[in-house]
Amino acid sequence: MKQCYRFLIRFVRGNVLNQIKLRENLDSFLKDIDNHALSIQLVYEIFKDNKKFLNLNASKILRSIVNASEKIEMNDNKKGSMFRLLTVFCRYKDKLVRANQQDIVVFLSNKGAQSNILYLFTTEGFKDINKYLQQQKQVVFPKEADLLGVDGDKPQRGLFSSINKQKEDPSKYNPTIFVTNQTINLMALVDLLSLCCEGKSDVAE
Amino acid sequence: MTEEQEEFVMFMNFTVTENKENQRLLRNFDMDEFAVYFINYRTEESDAAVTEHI
Repeated sequence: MKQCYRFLIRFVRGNVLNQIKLRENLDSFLKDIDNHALSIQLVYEIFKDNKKFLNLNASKILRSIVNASEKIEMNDNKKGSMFRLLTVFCRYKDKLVRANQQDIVVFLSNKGAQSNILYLFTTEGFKDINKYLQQQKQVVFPKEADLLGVDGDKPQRGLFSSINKQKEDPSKYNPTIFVTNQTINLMALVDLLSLCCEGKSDVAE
Repeated sequence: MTEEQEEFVMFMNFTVTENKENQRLLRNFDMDEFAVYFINYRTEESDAAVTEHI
């Protein structure tokens, strides 16, 4: 099944005629999201930069995607993938699709108190955001023995020495951080909302 | 790279271009329909397995 999806993703990527051909099976792919996360990527590629699809009956599809994303738990990174999927409706090449931006904001905010992610941005939800951030493992910097000061004198600690050395060899000196699914989902939501607010939009504001 | 990592990387918004001619050939041979058939078949099979009818 994964191979089927991987093939279809590459089949449809950047090809309008192939996007049109696969659009007829959209319902099947949306239904299969629970079983295969790659179906989200496929739907993304079907709509990407397709002018007709982004404007025609997009509202109904957006509503069903938002509703489906609400049912996914915060600890499942499929939730963040659904938010990334929604971003494809906001842009046609370098232009914004205002109607879709507004629809997404309206559908997301309609859920209000029932939303299992929007409440995190309220006073009551703040302690949960804090909990998710605390669950991240600490940033791991490269070993101190590998780091030298910029002028070759005694080793500098932490972030700044890491940044200096990164310029020389990014693969060796990048600090490592482990990001939990909850944080990935939050970042994806913030990305989506910021894209929806781009351009002049009274509804988004 | 694990499958999960591969899927995550696939979803990143970087520029990837596919071979248009190959895409056209595969479309003309309806190769996508095989893939869609398998997906639909497995979706229906898993739907049928979920029912609790006696």
